[in-house]
Amino acid sequence: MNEQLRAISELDRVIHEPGRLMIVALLAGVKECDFLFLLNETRMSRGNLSTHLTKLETAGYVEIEKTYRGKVPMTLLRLTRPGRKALDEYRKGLMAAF
Amino acid sequence: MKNPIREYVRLVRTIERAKHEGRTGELLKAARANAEIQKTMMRPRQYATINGAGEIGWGTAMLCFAFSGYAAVILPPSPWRGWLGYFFLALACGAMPVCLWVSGRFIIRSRVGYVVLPRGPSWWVGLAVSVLVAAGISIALSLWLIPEMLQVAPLPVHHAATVTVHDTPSRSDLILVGAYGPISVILYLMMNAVSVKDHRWKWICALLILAMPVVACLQPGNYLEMARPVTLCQGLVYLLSGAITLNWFLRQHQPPAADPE
Repeated sequence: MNEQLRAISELDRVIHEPGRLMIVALLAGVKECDFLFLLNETRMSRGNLSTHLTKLETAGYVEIEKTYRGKVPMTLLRLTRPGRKALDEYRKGLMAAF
Repeated sequence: MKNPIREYVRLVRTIERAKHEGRTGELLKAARANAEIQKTMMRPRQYATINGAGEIGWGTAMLCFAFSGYAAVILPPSPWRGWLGYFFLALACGAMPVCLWVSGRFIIRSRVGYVVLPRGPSWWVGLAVSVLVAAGISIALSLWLIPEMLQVAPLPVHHAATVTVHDTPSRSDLILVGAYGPISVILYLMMNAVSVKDHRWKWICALLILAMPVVACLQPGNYLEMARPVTLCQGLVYLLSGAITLNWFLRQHQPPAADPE
């Protein structure tokens, strides 16, 4: 039981939040995508999604690039190598915790 | 990156095993959570197939192949007849990538957002192996069918149809029923692996695609004569199926509302 609790406490808190977990899982399945794609897939509000992305960027898990496609502004999002590693670790930790 | 499909299958098997062994406890919960994560990772891939662009592209390619064949036998002999056939062949080669690009640029991007799927080394290896296998099969079939090709190649359609009437199935008949039909159905179902759950009517299209080579086999003539109408009809089925799927996709995925000021 102690082992189980320790495994749970070692889960990455940044990824463990359901909204951020969904974002990271979606980004893990693509090379890159834009803000609109994540907005459609997660069904979050723009503000909520933006807040989660900022937290993930601060943790170094997500790379955010502001760019233009023609004259239209576009926010490109990519999962970084540490982000991908963190998701793998989280999934392993999840199996170990239970 | 790990292969998400293999990972997902592994997790589903874990869940099934746990259910079978009566272990409905924590392992099952964790495996389910992990499977959900895996499912989420795989979800973006569905946009490559659910809007019908692949079917429209492949249908256009098949029509172009058929037109290329018809151009060679229907049009009067002239220097530009051969070039017209090559023109249709070139269109057929470009139809699929052009349709996918157009759908990505003008349909998917404006409705569900911009997304680029990863193409690691395994994707390129798979593509290279597919091309090599397809080329190998094509060359082997061509060599096997040379006698029948020589029998009808120079004749126009209305003559060619009367050249060979088989009492026993010819080589080309066997290929039509034994290989071409099943391969066509497998290809169609592979293109619609995701969308067939929502569109049950696609099973009718699959049956039609399978039935066409069988019907053609029952007609007098051989593969070269029958390939044209079969390709034409299959192309029309693909186009129709793609158009209905695209219409459904456009209705389901509306462009996002503008930001409130």
